[in-house]
Amino acid sequence: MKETYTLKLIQEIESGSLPLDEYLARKAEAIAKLEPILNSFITVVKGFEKSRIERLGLLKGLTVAIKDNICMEGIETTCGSLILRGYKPSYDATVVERIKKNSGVITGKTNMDEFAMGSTTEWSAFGPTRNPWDPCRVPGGSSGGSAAAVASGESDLALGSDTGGSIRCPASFCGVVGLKPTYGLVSRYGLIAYANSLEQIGPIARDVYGCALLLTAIAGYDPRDSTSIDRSYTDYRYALIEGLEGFRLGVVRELLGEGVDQRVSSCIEESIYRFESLGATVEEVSIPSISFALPAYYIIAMAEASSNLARYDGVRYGMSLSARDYDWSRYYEDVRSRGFGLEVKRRIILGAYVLSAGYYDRYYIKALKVRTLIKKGFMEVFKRFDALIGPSMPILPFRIGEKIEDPLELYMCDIDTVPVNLAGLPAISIPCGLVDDLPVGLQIIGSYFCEDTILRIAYNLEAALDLRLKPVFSEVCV
Amino acid sequence: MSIRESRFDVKRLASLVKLRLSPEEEKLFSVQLSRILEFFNRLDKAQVDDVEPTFHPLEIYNVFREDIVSPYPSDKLLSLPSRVKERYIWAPRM
Repeated sequence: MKETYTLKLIQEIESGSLPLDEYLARKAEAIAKLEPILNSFITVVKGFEKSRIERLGLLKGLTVAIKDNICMEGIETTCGSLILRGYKPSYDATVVERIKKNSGVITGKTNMDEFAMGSTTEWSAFGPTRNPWDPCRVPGGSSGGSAAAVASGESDLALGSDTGGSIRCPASFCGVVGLKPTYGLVSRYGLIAYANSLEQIGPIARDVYGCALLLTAIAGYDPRDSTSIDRSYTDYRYALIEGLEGFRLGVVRELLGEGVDQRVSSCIEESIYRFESLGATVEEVSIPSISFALPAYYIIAMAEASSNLARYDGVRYGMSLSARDYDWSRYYEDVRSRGFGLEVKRRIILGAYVLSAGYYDRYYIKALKVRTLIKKGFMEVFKRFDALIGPSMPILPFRIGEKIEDPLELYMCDIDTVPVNLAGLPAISIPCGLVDDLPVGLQIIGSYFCEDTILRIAYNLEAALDLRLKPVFSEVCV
Repeated sequence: MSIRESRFDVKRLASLVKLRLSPEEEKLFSVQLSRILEFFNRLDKAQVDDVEPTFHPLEIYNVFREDIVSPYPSDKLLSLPSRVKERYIWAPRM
């Protein structure tokens, strides 16, 4: 197996050449040094560097940052929103439980667009996260804090959640590896809901090995999430096999269409030659229904959001107002109007609109029918291909503030990621080059529960490219 | 559908989802949300007459669990609201 960053780190910890306490102290130093610049975390777990592990499990004491929409007992979990400020969950999400059980050390809760609604991490109530490659630029979103923490070395692994690209987008913009699992592979118990039928928790790491490792730790059936799938689970590290002879890859025409930066396309084309030299066959393929994916995605996501976010009333947890003479309607309005940011309000209102009588069939049901077409489109091409490829993001990381005024322009950036969520498929974003010192991500999409296939393909490309990326702001240990 | 036709009553919709918008938000949203709806109207071109809707990515039916009560430490939950009196949570007047 190729020696990558995470594997080398594990070997050093296991052999004792990098004692765990020294490793954790370095991570705490990295966070103290970089946080004033990057703002990757909303909350750093106090004293994480003093963790003592009796017996090293799967994660070997590696540091893991957790997106702030995933519950961790006793640690403030805000979803990047004022409305949840002060909320300390009374339980661990299943993924957090599994990370602890597998001896991962949790460094903190990472910054994100409020309720995961965004692609830049600028919509956080706790200020934007900055891209470690260029702090004037966005890190992508909504799991921008997790990706920036991994890229900068503040943490070696992280969890994100991906509703329409929120793992793959920041992984692409920060030059790290991020995997959105098949819907149902990872338990959503303890993930604060935005759009239930679309979102999955997944790993972010510096390399494919790290991604496979963390996925192995968190995947699996959970009776507390009735949409998690009861099937046999694998150790994804065993999927990292050299060679791609006989693999059939499809380049999805619609993912490389209008609006894709020519420099991004060139990087993807370069990777295609690499795949061919590794023994894979690559052909162009078309899924025409993908052209309707963006409006369908936003209709469904906003509809689910408007329903999910109805629970925030300022009574049971999070933000509350002190006046005692409130009538209920005015109280809820005041809490929600003060607690939610602009993008969340936009989506709640539009979601309510598309679900309302008279518009339900026209928008919501129609979007769900388009979802059927997209799913069928993917299933059809997976009869001929092992995996599909395209860019993760159509453009390079842009400047903070550049697109924030125009929500529609920001939504357009999700063109390459949302089809995967509509269909419930797994996909990984892996760095495939640099343009003007900014990373470009390649997306590999697999069929249902074929995480092993996309990890193997990504692993081989990673080895062939051997990019050894190191952003300007990074404190990497090894 | 033109932008004019698709423009909707933002203030009324906001009140239905228990949001009170500032005059600036109202002005901003009435333009932005109309543009987004215009974008949603691209679906008018999709041929979906005989297509069934997909509510969920996987076909999962009737997920049951054993009907066993598992205790939950209610003290933990009662520590979350800002105002609790004798194990009752304060709520605004109905």
